[in-house]
Amino acid sequence: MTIGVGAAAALATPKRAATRSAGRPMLVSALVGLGVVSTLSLSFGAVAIAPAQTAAIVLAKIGLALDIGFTQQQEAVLLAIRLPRLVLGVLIGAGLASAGAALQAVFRNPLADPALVGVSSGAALGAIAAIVLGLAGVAGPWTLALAAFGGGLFASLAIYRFARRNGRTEVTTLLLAGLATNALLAALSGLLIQRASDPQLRSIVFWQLGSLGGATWTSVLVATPLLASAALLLQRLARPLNVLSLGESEAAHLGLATERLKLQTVALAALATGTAVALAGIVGFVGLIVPHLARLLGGPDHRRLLPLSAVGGAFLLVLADLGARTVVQPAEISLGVVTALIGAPFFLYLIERTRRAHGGWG
Amino acid sequence: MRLEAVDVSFRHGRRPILDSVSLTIDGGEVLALLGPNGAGKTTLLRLLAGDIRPDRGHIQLDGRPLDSFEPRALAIRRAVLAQSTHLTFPFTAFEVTLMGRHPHLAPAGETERDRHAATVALRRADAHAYADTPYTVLSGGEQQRVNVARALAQDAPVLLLDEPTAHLDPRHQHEVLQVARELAAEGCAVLAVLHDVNLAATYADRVALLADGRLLDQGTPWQVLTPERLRNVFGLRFAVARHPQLGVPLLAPFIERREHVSDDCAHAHPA
Repeated sequence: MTIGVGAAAALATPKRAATRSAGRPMLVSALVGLGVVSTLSLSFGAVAIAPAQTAAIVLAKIGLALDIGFTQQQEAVLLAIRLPRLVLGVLIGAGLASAGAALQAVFRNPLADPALVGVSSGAALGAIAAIVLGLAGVAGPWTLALAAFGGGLFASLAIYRFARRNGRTEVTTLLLAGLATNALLAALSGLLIQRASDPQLRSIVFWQLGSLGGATWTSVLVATPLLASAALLLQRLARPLNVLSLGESEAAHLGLATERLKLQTVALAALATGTAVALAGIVGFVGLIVPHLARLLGGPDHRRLLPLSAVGGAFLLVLADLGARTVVQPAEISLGVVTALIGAPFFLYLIERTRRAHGGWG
Repeated sequence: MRLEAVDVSFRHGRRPILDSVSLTIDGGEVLALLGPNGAGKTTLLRLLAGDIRPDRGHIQLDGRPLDSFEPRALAIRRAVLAQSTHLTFPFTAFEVTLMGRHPHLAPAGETERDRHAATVALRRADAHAYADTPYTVLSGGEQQRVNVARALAQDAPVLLLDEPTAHLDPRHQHEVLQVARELAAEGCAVLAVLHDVNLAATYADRVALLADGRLLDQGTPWQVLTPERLRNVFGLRFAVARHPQLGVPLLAPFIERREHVSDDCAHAHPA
């Protein structure tokens, strides 16, 4: 971020061009980081697989034999477990962070997060309802994703409508309404959990703590169209989201169809979060801290912020998953536990920072 | 360009805000809208901007109902300057100004032409010195000048300015209204909600007086800004003179000295 208070006015245009391209090295660094952490993630685990062996296994799969030895066990672990887990982690991290960045833009608040605005708890309730009420057969592997999506969309729209008055979204009301709605949804989930059988309970605990442990190529197949389309469609909203940063009436004066933009954003964020929750359970804080960090590093322009958040989210999720399954090997910590261990202290730091900068929320 | 409110009324709940107001702003003129707090000035401006719809009457732009315009088509024709604009994210002043180009943007995004327009607008609003500073760290007056630049960058023939001089120091108050005059000279229709009667007298071609949701009078500054009318509207006495250089009314408000002062302070400090 260039801050040149006394800078000559004549330089304004070229200087902006220089600042604009500053976002690109950041994105490249994030991509390199994602590559490194992905390689590590494929290598580490109960069965060690060297990066060269990983390449050999993948290339052998597409008919290119390299002169690098690997065992059948390594091949099985890589292809059936680690690779789908990595792909799912990348998709979910990118989806959650994009959703967070877009929601922060719509609510014009850096503390908005899929969990705070009820998407996560709504999605969890949808998923739990689908498990307990035995709806799994309705749409095959898509059932949970659709139920979670529906729950997330419904909850976020309900909170959103509640927090709006006279065309304005009141942030404090929004956070309080989100708190109350989250509690209500958790209670409803609790009611369902009490009716659950033991195997159902095990699935439910999995949703609530979050994990990529259930990743299969089937879940990747389900996740890819939903999460990728949500993340890509959110990128397309970058420019209107920039204009919305001015405020709703200002954006409307500039010809933006604000209500439609907000609905699109909330729906896409609910799609991304709902799918993520359905496949990996509640993974908190990724949608909160990644966009915030991306904004600090690459500036507030959503055309840079959304791609950087997506890559950063993928990076953080793959890293957190690597930690979750290697730190206390052979046991596994829940992914949601790891992201919350990182995210919660960072959230407190954000609150403190905002309080120092703006005197809090009154 | 002609923007007109025809016999518009507006209520907020049961409270009437505007009652049968008719007002026309033509290309080439600056119209100042004056009135005490709560007179309905901002509501009238929001009706003219198309933010809200009147309960009765209608708003027309070039003879066409305002709500028949697509949002973008309307944004190309009229710009609005709000009393203040709050940003959460640290976009620079240049980025904020460039957002004014939104209705003009090609599908691929902004071109060099848009960036040039933003640079020119920043200079015209005397905000170019902090083009690369985040809007969020600017002072209220600096932010207001950036918003003026954004409205200028929008390049619309109708400008609706809600207290464009708010937060500004005297020099910048005059500079902003001077820009409004220049725009009018270029053919724009400018409506400015003002509190300072002298600024209205100096820069407006016509003045409209609004009180309790009714339009009391409109006309040239000499016709409208008389001590009697101002006293009726603002509950304040004004002395009027002719400005020695500009020939416009020069208005000095005053409260008549009271003969009998009987509060405690008078006892504590006998004359």
